[in-house]
Amino acid sequence: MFHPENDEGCENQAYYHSETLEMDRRPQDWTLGYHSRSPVQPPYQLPPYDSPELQRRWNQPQIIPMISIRRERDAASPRVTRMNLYEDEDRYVNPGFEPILDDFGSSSSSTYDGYNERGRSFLPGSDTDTETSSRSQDRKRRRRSLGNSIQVGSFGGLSLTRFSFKKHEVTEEEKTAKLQIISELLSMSPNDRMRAIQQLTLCMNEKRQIRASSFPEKNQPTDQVENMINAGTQFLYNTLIALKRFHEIMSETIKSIHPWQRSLKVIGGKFGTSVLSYFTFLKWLLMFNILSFLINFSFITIPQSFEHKPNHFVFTGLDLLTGAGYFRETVFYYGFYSNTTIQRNSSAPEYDMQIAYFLTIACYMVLCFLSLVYSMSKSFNENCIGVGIIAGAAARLLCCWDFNITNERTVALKKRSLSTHLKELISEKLHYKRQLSKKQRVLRIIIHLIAWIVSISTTILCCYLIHTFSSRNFQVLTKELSGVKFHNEASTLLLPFLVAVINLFVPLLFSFIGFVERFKYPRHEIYALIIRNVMLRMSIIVVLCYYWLEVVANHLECWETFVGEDLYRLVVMDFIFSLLGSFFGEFILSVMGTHCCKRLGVPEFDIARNVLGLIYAQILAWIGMFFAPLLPAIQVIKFFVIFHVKKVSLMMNCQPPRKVWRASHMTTIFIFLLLFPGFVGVLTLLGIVVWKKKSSETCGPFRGVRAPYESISSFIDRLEENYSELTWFVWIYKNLLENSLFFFLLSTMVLAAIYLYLQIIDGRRVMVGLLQEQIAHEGKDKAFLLGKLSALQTSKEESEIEPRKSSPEPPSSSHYGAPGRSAYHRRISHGNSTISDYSEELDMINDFEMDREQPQNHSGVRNGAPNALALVLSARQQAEEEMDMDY
Amino acid sequence: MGNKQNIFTAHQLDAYQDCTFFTRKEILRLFHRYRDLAPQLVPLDYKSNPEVKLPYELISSMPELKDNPFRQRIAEVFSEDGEGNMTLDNFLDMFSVLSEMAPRDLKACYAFKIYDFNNDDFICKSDLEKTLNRLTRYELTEEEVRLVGEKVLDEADLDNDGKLSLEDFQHMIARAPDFLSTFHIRI
Repeated sequence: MFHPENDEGCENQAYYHSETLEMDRRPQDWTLGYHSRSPVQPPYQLPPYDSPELQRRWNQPQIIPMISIRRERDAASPRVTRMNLYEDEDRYVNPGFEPILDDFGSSSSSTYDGYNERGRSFLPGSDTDTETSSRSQDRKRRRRSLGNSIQVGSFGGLSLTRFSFKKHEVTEEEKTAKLQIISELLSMSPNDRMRAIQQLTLCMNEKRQIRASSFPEKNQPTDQVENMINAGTQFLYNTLIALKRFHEIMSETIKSIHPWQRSLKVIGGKFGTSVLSYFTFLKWLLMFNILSFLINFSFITIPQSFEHKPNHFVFTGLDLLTGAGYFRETVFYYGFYSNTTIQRNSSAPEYDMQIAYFLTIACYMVLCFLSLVYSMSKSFNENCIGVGIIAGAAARLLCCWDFNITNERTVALKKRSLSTHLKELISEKLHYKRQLSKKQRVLRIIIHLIAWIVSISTTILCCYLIHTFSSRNFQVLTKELSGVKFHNEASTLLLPFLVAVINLFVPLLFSFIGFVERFKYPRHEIYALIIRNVMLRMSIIVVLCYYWLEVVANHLECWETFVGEDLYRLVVMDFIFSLLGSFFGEFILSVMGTHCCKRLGVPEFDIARNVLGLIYAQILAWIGMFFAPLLPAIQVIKFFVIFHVKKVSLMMNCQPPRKVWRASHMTTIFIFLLLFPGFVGVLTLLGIVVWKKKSSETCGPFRGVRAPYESISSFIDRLEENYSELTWFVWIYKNLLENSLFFFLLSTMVLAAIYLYLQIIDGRRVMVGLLQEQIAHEGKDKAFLLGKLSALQTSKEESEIEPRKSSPEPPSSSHYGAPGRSAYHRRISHGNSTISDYSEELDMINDFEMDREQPQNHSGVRNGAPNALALVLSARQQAEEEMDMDY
Repeated sequence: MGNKQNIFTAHQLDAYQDCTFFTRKEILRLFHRYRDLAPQLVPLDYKSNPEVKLPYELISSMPELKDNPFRQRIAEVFSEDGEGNMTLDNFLDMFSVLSEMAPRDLKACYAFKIYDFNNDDFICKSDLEKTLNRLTRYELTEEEVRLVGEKVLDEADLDNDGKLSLEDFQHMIARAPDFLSTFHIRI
């Protein structure tokens, strides 16, 4: 198969990295690495990658991407044999080719799955050997050592983990393994290769050696490289290097500005991962708000600020708190924005504020939704799938230690809590079912019922309070619009104040109820607490929304600005009260706990309550996006301050939590809460405002249209008239976006997909159960076979000794044969639905038993025993190898 | 120091970068942490790969490890001599595995080694007892320790061989999502 373009292919980097070539390239190393080996000369004596010729062969493709320099290269390395190898490929018989293919097949699918690579990594080595006798010896030896050292070389996190065998075997196995790893590495792209090296479980020295042989291009001194390529290539090369360096520096800088790395470390060290999860959540929300601030600021505020309007108000200190007055006529609120197109000068392009306002908010919402769904699915995938099936002592014991913790007191506390926990666990096991009496159970149910009734009625009461107060207050406000300005402004603060007070104290009441209730599991207590808190905050927000949309919107001119002001006040009040909350809730309690009544003790940081507060604040900010586009800025400042205040308060006042807190599980729940009632609720509200509510006529970007959405329809109409080349866009809009059938079909498809995935998950669950059963059975098999074997050995020893004593006894094998077999059959019938390997093993057992029985019938034990022993030995070895591979 | 560092050659740094999960800066920072443990022993010039080994006592005095009940095991597992005396390479290795970037399988493998006190490639009952005693400051009675050990094996030992193999352990880790965040030392 002579290819005239072969030369070209060699120069072409893409071809050089293509799979075929990797495959072709390999046999040479393999022949060097494996086939020239003899027991006298171990493979590493002949280091394949250090030989200059080979190294050069490796280097060429990396640095010579262009055809123009081929000749120079050829002149520089006249000894390259590669082309010849290709040209007479039909004659060239490569002894190592077949196994290489095999190996390549395994590593080309290289997901770095340790399980797949395991056990297989030696196979190419052992299969490489053809039937020559020296090799088969070699192979036997390797097999034996394979049995000793279940697993030496494989990568992806699992390699060279076991060095429990003898020294000379270590060296050989190690070398084979290393060669194996290197050859597998070479078949990957450089990036994958680097990642694979990072994941090797080897010590640095070995990693470095492996790296040196798998990145041959990095080893070569640079001046040699420069000699070999001409100026153009060198320029390209240098540019590439510079780009790579730039990328590295950028990623380093980004990492180094990673805020609060130190604070997080300190918190994690003192309080463990559970409290840390609150702060990482806070940081995540902060990033969200910075993003939304940037979007709003650049697409709405900056264009609008080109068009100045005079401000009639004078700035007073109270304005900071109420957000009214001076701020009313700034870019802060909806009302300030104009509905016209903005032009810097007559020649500059136009900027349509109306469309910009709408699209910016819409885009941000879509972005938010996507990133929420993404982080939700990621977190769910990592933390919730499959978790909880085993959530017992084992996981708790071996995974529980928090390596973050560096504080002596915390370590002691953690140890104590762990030991109490374990004691509880054992007591559960000792008195396995300590059932409550019927009376106690009824009592408990009644207590739960009362607790729920109390909390629900409290929520309803709070909502009613807010509802009546808000409408009263609004009447007073509208009446007094002409009255004293200061008084008027101050009275707008009453509603946010009420809401904040409710938000501060009612959750405390809920915590107290949960404490009184005495749940059986602490988990249930946390869930109940979360449900009640979310219920309270959500219903408060719903009542407020009703107030804004029904009362305010119908009675006020420029109602959007008023709602924006209200939201600003709510956010600010919430901020103040969360500061007060950490002051009273943590500082005062800790002072009381340390000085007045020691019984109370130092308070713990209540993660659930604090995180729910954050979620509430974020929902307010999202609602505010439409009415006050710069509200995210306030939110950023607020979260920033809260982070530091909470950190200081935590350090000064709190003690590490004693309860077990499944941090990552809870984080998933919190993200879900943020998504589901939070974000979806905000979307609903904004949907109503945008599609149904009449926008005010004298202010805001949507003055003059019936509802904000109308602006888009009129924009599309304009597009249709003026820009004929955009008809496809208009068509999409009219036929897809405005068509309910399209959305109906879309949602049907999504639902169908969800259903399909649910079915798949169900199927997998069943499959996992079956596989677990199979593993258990195989373990039993192993134990059974080992028992058989040892029994056989003892019986053999006995039979060797006893004839000499000439006191024949009935052979002991029948003790093992019959019951063992029936047990085996029982097991087979139990698990035969899925397991195909068993038939094989059964055959093996049958053979074994036949061998055991036959000699008994004919000539006695002595003849049969060695045969049977050999058979069983080989069978056992085979079975074990199979098992290792199966894993 | 400034921008140019002259502790390592560019080549060495490159190799470190490829072999660990750290960036250039982090490697230098770790080097300084390492050097701070014994400034008189560790030279400021690593270009010739000096043979420096810090004894276990110094390593375990790091604030990150000082209070960790498994500090000795960690040092033993990551040191080449198996006795906790660490070269810079071992030191980098250790923090690389314990860093945020290390994948679950790698962490699980080393956690397994840490819990495998007698280095027999299985977590057997005696290993579990040692782990327990370290975790609870000997507050449990012998009977309780035995019971907990049994329960652990009962839950996690899938193939019923009476000890936990690496596969059993990894399987268990896969169901403990907190493991990734807790088997992590910030530096």
